Amino acid sequence: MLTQTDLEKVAKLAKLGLTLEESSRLTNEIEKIISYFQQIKHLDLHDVTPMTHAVSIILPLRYDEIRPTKCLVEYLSYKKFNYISVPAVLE
Amino acid sequence: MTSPDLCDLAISVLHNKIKNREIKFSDIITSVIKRIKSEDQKINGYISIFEEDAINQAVELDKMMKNFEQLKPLSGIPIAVKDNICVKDKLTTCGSKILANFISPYDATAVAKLRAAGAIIIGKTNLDEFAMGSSTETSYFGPTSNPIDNRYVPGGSSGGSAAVVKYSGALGALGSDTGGSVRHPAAFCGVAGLKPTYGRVSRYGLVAFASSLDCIGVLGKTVADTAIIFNTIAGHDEMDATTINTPVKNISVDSNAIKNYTIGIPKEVFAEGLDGRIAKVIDDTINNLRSRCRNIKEVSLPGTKYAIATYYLICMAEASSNLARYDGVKYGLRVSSSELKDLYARTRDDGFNTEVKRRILIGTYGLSKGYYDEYYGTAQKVRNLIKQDFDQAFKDCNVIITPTTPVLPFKLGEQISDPLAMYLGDIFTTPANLAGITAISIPAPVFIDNFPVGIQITGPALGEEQILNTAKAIEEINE
Repeated sequence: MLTQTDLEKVAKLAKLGLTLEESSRLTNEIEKIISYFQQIKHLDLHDVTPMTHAVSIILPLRYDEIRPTKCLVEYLSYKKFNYISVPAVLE
Repeated sequence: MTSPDLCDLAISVLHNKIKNREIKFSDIITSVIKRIKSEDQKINGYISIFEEDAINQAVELDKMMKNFEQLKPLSGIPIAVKDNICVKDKLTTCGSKILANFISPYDATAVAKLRAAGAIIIGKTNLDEFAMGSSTETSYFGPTSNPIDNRYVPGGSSGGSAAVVKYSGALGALGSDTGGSVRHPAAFCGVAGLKPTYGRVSRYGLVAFASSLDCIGVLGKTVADTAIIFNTIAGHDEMDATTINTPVKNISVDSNAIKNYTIGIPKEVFAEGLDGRIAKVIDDTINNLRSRCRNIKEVSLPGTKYAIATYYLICMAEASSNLARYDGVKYGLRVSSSELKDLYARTRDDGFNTEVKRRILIGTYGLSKGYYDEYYGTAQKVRNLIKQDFDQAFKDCNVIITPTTPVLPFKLGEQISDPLAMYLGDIFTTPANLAGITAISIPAPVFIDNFPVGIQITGPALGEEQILNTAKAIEEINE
């Protein structure tokens, strides 16, 4: 059973600011969806390995050579003197 | 009978006309732009249209091209791109307020390959916000309508791409398919929609939603057009470590090949929840194929009934992680605050729509301490069972035929307040994404209440040729 307090805690972890109305409505909707998901919890899966990906990935290697890259700083929306600008994090 | 406009013709027909000097490249673009201007105000299929660029490129091609025998596969062909795929120096909004002002620094690999094959990128198409939906109603830029009847949804999430191909506002389009987002709108709009094998098309430049499932796909007017575009974008890419490093065969569609195939029909398909009228159309179409393919047999995919729960748990978990990057710091929307954590929360609250928030919340919940094994871990195991079902089934058949969707298109607004009902519409499409295999939706030869019925043909990994050949055979039933 998902409570509104649980949801508000999850929202905090997900860095989502929700209004009271939103968190109340979403609690009811999400509770219904999670109840539907419960169906897979009753399957016998003790011999089954988890599948994380559709293809087996071997990390590819390449020569460590410098290639021309685009300077992404010009695409930043919030910058001062070519640095990202944010509110002060230290007093 | 009046002859069709150029924008209504297949790619090969247009290229023949070019070779015969009956038309110029700029005639094709003019025809497509005229159609967009007459239709898109009603449909809202496009978020951005590159009219001037497209005309300039076509005029340039008319000037440059002397030897028409040397046409590239997509020379002068206008292709639309879903607005979660990057096109250099153009907006890539993902249908979201949070990226409404985001300009792509580079072309996605699939877009670069389209350009290298001569295509003209005509515009960026509407989608459910961050490709999360099955109706193209949750876009910040308003819903897209179904060109067959404007009161109905076009399906989703690549609803803009399917709609513009349907009304001939492009001759083909790229979409993305995480759980059916190419095939679902293809079915609702009556066009072809191909989801390639996971890793066959590079995801570089596709905005990540659920990385282990995401796939760039193709929407086309015909199976042959779809194959031409797929041939162009497929292949290994060092910018995406998950692309498959095997040679790409240039597929030339041949419906006669199906005489040597075995077609599998899963016995679980005709289950509760499937519209009986759709079931009949599928049955009739399969019977129609019997004259061309003698080997049609029943197969079993018992895990299908768990596909929705498994798919949504995995995609929401991956989405909650992928969408953490939208925090108002580097790019996109920022809602100002004097405190950094508050800036994150306010930006994300204002920038994301309800469905995206819902998925981030469920994904975060499913990954959180104490719930990880119960939800995400369990879903990963069931995913393996679903893949094993397909491995087993493809020992006995080459392709599997099912409906694409269990229901026909619904009216705009009809399901938007019932997210679970919307999710259940993905029952037939999500298994292919979970297993990482390929599938195509093609309109059945019969309509119900004016709407097409999507038939899905699924193949094993790298089985694009056999599903395209089978799709072509279905396309030919009424020809």
